[in-house]
Amino acid sequence: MTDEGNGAPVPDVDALVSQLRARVEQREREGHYPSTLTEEMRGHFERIARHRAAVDLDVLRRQLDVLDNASSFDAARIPLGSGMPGGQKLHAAVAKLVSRQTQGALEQVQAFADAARVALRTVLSALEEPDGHVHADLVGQLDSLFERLAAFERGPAAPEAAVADLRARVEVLEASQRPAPPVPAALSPVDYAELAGCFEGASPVLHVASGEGGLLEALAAAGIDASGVEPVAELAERSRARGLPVTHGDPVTWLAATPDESLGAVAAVDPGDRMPPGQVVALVVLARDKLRPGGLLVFHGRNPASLYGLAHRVTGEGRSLHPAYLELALREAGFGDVRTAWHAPPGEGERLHELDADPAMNENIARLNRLLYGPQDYTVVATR
Amino acid sequence: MAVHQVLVAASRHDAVTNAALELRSLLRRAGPSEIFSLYYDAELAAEVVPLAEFPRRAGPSGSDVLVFHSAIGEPYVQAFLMERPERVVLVYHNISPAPLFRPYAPQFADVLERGRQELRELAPRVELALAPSQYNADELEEIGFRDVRVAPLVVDVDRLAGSAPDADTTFHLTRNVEGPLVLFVGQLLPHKRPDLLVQAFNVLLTYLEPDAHLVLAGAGTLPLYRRAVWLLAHELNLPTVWFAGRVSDAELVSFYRRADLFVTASEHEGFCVPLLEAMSFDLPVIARAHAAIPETLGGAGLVLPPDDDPVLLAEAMAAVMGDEALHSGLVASGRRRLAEFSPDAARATFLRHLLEVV
Repeated sequence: MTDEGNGAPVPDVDALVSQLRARVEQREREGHYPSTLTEEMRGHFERIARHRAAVDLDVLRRQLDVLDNASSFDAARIPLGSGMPGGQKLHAAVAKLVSRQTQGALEQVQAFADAARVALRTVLSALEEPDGHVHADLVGQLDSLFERLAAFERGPAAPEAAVADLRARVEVLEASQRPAPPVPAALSPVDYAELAGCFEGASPVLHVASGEGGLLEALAAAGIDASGVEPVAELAERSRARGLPVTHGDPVTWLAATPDESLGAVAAVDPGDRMPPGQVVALVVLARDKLRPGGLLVFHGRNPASLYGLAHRVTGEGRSLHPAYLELALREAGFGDVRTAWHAPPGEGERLHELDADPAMNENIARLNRLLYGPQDYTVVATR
Repeated sequence: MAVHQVLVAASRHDAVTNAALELRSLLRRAGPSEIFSLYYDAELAAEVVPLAEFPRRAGPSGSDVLVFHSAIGEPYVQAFLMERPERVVLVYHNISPAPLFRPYAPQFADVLERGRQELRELAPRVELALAPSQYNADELEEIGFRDVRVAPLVVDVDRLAGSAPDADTTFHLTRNVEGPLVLFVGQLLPHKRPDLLVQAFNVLLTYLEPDAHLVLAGAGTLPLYRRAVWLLAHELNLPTVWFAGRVSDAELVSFYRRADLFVTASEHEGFCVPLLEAMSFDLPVIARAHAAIPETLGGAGLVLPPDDDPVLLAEAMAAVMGDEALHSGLVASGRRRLAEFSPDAARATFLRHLLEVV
């Protein structure tokens, strides 16, 4: 490699290509690659590309030839014979009488037959060359179909409408089967004052899907410069009425339009409730660009791994995202430092009690406590 | 005086149409300017005027200039250009070589051949011929054009690089694509050689990098060829090849952001905009030394010899994936090369040439 002195070394492409060629030859000699690999793949593609759906057009050609021979209409070929005495003379006389009309009708039939033969020949030639008659609209429709299939493959596992419909039916079923459980004391509202502590020195903060504005109020009380973007117009309006700087809009679109490295922190509370997973990923990817170095992306949510929390959650509360999912997305997006803190464990009175006399039983109880009574909330803090 | 542009066909995500739209923004700063096209996608109805309306919209003036973007043959447009009194400036995007298309679409191959013939006939009518690359310029001079200049396309890659990605595509890539991702952007057409790319990927996946993925983003408008390439990937049992079809800008951004390297096996390009797009996303580029590709790359990519060697192509991909210094070196040289394609400089070059005519 050579170095231009103004950045990373510039690869010596010619030398590299020579090395690659030598490597290929060596590996071919060593049997790493089958000696016929390239030819086999090329031949395979050529066979596929040459393949055409077989259509036996010879039958149609022969039928058209028969039609050609039969398509000559002449009054002289109309039989006049008769089994009755004097019948032939009668037919001939009638034929002579209507010969003018017969000739006119034959000429019309002949013209029709000639035109039909030309049309059939044209159809035959089109069939002989399938590429020549595929209508552009049909090709376009096929393309659209393939594109829709590709989009379906890329999309979420279930269409949004179907999921919404299913959710609505589940909610109706749940409502009919049992009353919604009350929110237990342990599942207190998000402690915004405590959460606001994460953002010390991180102004300006953007709260995406800012909801009722609880976090923004806590941030303002802590002297932190913060604003919100809320996709539900009614919530945004309600926040503004309380003097909070909230814009009504789509959080991802809003974040995309924000200048790079202009934010100190981005916050999202209950992201799974407010945004589909695809939007959360887009949010993570965009936030990486919009945060200044050292900036924070903070997710606060309900812990779906807490069975206690799930059991006491009100119906239809939403789809909590597992913090491990967020950690993965954050690391994939390039956030270097990702940490998760746990909050709101169920009270000691809720947990299973240990039995002093039996260590093995206590071990099992401890495992059950971890499984059933995990912390109900989490905060994932990622540093850019 | 007005400078109007003429296209045979206009569609979204088409390099020729994008070039015309860029030029129209520029030309409208100076005066009236429209894009007239014989065919166009319905979604472009607000941007493009049907060519049949030219006499009514543009009037009989002979003092105007027509900028004709040539990329395919079309007798109606040819007759229009030959009959109109306006002066004609040609922007030659190049016409794909007919022989590569003949096995799959003989009639389309005829259209391509006719396009070259029409260029010959048009040459005396053209006052100035602009070519986005020296490769295209050489072709025009060989055909018989008198005044041929090289004027780079106005390519604003920052617009794409600064766009938001598509949330669903990003989610899909995050969830389903583990391991290095090789990206190709371009139509599935014979001269782009996606068939060779799929063969090379088969070698990569089988012998060198079993976790690799390949995304081919672009429409396949020749059914027989598209089907053949799909069948090849299917029969070679390559489950990590994804034919994404025609994609939106947001989807494209998702692919570029997730990709680890950009590879094209194309053997005919008049310029090749995706090379610059890939550089703008800090992707190393691997290509073959065909047509204008080495010129567009300007030493900023790993350019392989022009022979059809899928194993060499696979080894090159593995080398870039496995050698961090090589990867960084190619990305850095891409950045430097990209800086030479300033949109403002390209606009200025185009205007300078055009002013000599008007």
